[in-house]
Amino acid sequence: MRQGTNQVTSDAAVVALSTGKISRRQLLTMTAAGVTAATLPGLSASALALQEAGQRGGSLHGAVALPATSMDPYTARAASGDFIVWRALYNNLLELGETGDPIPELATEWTISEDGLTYTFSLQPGVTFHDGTVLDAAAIQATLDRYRAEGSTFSGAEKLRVISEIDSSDPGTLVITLSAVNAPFLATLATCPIVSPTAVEEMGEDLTLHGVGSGPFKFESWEPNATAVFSRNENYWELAADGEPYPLLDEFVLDGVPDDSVRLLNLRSGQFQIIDRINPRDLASVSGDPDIQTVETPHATPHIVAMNPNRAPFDNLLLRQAVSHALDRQAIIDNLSFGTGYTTTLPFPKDAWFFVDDPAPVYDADRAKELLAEAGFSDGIDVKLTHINRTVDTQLAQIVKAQLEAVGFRVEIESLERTTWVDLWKAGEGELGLLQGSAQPTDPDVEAGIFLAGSFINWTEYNNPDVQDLLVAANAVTGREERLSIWKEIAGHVVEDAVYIYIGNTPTVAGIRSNVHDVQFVSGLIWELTHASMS
Amino acid sequence: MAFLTPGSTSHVLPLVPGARSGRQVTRLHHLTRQVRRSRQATIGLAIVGTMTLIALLAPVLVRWDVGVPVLTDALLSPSRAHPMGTDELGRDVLGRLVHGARVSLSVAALAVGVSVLAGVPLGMVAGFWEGKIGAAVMRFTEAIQAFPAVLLAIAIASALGPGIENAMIAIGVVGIPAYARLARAEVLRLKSSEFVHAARASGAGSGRILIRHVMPNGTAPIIVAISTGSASAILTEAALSFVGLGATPPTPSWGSMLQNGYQFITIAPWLGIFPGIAISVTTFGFIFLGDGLRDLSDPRLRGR
Amino acid sequence: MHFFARRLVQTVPVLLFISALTFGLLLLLPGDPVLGLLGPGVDIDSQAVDDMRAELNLDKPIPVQYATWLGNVLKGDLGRSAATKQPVSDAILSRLPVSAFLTLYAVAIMLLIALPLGILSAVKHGTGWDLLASAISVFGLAVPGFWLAILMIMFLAVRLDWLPASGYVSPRESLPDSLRYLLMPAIAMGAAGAGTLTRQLRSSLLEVMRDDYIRTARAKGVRGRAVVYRHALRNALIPSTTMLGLIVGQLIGGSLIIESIFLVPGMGSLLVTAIFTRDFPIVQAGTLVIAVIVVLINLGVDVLYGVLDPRID
Repeated sequence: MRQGTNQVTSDAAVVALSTGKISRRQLLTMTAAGVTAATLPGLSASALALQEAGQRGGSLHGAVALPATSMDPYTARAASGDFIVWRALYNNLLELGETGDPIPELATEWTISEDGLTYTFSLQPGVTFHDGTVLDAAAIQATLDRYRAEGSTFSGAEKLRVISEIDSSDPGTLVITLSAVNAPFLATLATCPIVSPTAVEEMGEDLTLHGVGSGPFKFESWEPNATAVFSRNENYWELAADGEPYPLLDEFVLDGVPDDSVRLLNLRSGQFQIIDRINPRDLASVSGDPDIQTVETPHATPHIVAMNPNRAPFDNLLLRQAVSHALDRQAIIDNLSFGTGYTTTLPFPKDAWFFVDDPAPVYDADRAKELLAEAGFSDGIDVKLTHINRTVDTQLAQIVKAQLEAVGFRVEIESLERTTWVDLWKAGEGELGLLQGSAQPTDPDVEAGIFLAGSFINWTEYNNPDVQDLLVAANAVTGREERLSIWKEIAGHVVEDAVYIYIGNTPTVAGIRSNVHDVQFVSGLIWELTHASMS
Repeated sequence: MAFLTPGSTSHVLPLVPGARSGRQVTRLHHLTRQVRRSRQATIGLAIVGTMTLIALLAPVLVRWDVGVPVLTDALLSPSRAHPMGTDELGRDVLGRLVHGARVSLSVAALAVGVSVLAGVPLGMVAGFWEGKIGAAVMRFTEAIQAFPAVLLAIAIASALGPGIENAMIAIGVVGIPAYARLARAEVLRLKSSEFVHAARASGAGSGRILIRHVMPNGTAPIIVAISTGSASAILTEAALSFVGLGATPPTPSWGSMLQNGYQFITIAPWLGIFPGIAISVTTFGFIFLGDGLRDLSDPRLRGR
Repeated sequence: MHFFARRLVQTVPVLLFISALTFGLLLLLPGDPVLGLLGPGVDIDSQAVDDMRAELNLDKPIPVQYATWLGNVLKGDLGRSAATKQPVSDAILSRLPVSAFLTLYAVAIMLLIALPLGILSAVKHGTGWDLLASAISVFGLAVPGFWLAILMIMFLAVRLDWLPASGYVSPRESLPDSLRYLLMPAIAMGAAGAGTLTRQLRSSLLEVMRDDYIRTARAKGVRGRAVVYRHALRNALIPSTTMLGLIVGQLIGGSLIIESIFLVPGMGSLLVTAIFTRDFPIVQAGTLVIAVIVVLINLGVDVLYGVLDPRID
């Protein structure tokens, strides 16, 4: 199984799931190993081998680039640290494996009605929250209702609005009815951690500082913007081979360390045992280190050049297309990702079933000059490039400037703090800007917000009616092939309209010390530590 | 970084004891003549002079555009073609450092200019009219100084927006209180001196005394402070750049080069080491020059 | 004590001014604070954004916002962090001791360097030793603190593996570990202060040594070292104490970048994060707390100075 490709592994998983002859743990391990073996041929298979009985005990200290913003998913700001906290403290109805295949969690199995509108979930019995509250259908409904309510601050609130009704009358069964067919619905549920309703009621705002879920780890302490500490949940519902409950680790400590160099230094010194990403520039420096495994996750960071189509000068389609032809995307992504990346057309990672890199913008400097002249700027034009002052964007800004100036643009760069940048673009005053996305391998809908009219993350307020219709259509069918062909059509518009130019993806590479075993990655880059152990 | 306010490096307490007579008018004159007699001043002057020369001649020394990426040459280690290597965009580090001297030194000059032009008059007024005005000015400077200097610079720089000009203003504002206190102390000292008493006795008005008698005699310590203040400004620019509020790329300020180099410290140490050396050597030069000048301007130290 | 009371009264307008200044600066900052709080992947409706704005009082006129905040502060309520809902007082109480300990450590290192170097410099005034000592102290001032930090991490932590690259252990947990973890940040923070202090010590020693009573002492046959230790040092320490007070004041606020590099969970890193995420309650209260401490230290220094040097009224 370990040598299998993604597709083989996931097929195996699907088969195994349907026959019920495989444990959840094996499933997680299989998908994780499948992906890493496929994408990282240099990595020794033994490093990822399934440890039959992982050792109990130990404290795992990890670090992520963006610290957790809350212990309560309802108020969390969807930073990378938040998702990892969610996996530690909470359970979802289900999880998504590397290729977007659902893995049972609180829901042991489910059926979807013929019309695709009604989902019936059978729930794992005997699960309790850390505060002793029973986790039944009503508790799940309480969480979902809170997330999808009017004015909810839950980061995925909009996606949950497709729910029309929830029925929790049978404690062991949850029935959710949708108002329309929604292909990514299971993916949406996979990012809805279930919170103790008792805690919501009793703790109110303090829940932000003190999460109460049913996950493998319990909340111990949290110093915002610094360290969060979680301890083993002795009453976790999933049992290990020795008959005792998972998890194997006694403690999980999570730090937020925005600086890539500092994070890596501490992994190398052993201060941290796992970090969420190693900057590609540093990969060469750790490749010889026997104490560190580098794991290429299926997640990637897309680099995007954005233009505001609602404001001069980039309301001019020809001018946007000139930019699109002026950029040598391959050279840029090679430089930004230090040779680890690849070009793409949409914010999707290369091993996902919905990856699209064709059609793509074509690098053609002469054509760019022609378009510039056609647009009426044969003498060149002054444009302002605004970007957030992080290293990669600063690097990209200077390349974009040089390549655009080579065809006749005159570019002034403005490096802004994130808040200022957001404010500028939210006010509709950006001209030319740089973005970083998050390409997740689970479902294309996860990143669809950037093309969706009225969405918070559609920075340029790109609104092509054809694209809007296609986005609806892409969720209204459930077959992967049909969905992919719709997304290819969307890609055609995105390239033609040149509002968002996808340069390429930098794959996310995690770093783990060699004495840590069985860390699995869900939804691309989120650590699943239930089965992890240390030696 | 925050320490290098002129007030702290020269004197917080009333300045330069001694020197109480009209002879001071000639102090500045002495000073320039005697610079070469002090080893510190000589070393400092040599460094500052060289850096200034490099900054002035940058367009002649390095004729290519140091902002344009050469992606095929990214991260080359130091070699004959690139004595200090290339950065992540394939640009020659030495060339950028040379042009960076221009940026960093003009930041220092303009920032100190802002501090001096705002701080010195404020301090003089506070010293001359001690009562309520003086107290108000002093409370104001105390308040600014109680603010963490880097935080204040960050706040001002983010409020003004990015860019090197705004960084200069931010750095300048942060430096105002130090010059104000310095100027006030000088005025207080000179006010009680015999020649001011004499001028007052002969019927000169306050403004006239301030401009004709106090100002020329108070300049030496201010010049000393400007020298150390320049060092401080260069360091604050580096700190601002470090948090992303300095020069806009591709402008090569030393601070932004250092910040950038820090990102690549594990694989391309030359990117962080050379700008760090440039900053350190230049600030070293300014401080030495300031020290030397102060020793020379203190007649009691002069003879030794 | 009359002097003390007067100075204490004088600090009130200073603190008021600082709080107003902080408030004003925050208003000048570009960027909608609510948008600053939202993360990259957030997909919520505009109603929720408006609710957040109302919750942070940002929908009210500016003077009302300030008055409300000031009123609450006087009642002892510093509010809650806009980002994490943590009570601001909790955030400050958990981070202030960390910064305080680091600052003390930095001061200790500073004294260890500055005292011998300053004395050497003054005693051997005008010789090569003096120049060397000056050069060392000036280098402390000239090298950017964070560059020193980076170089130390590269060599002491990564190459030689002598010290942990970053992190923090509370001294209550283990004092030796705590000192080991904080050694590099303390050096990075203390270097500049050591430079300042060495130079101050040198110049005040030189000055004192020229004074009449030293000359008298010398004339009476008290020689070299004895003069320095018994007479000169004691008097020279008076201005140095003042300087030390100022340095401590600046250290508290000057640790922002160093704390961020070494992942020390102190006030500096708290404030840097807060200013960039536009977490106004934290910035306002944090700045005020630092300002109060600095003002109190200055006050303490003034009082001490009055005690040590009775010529001041």
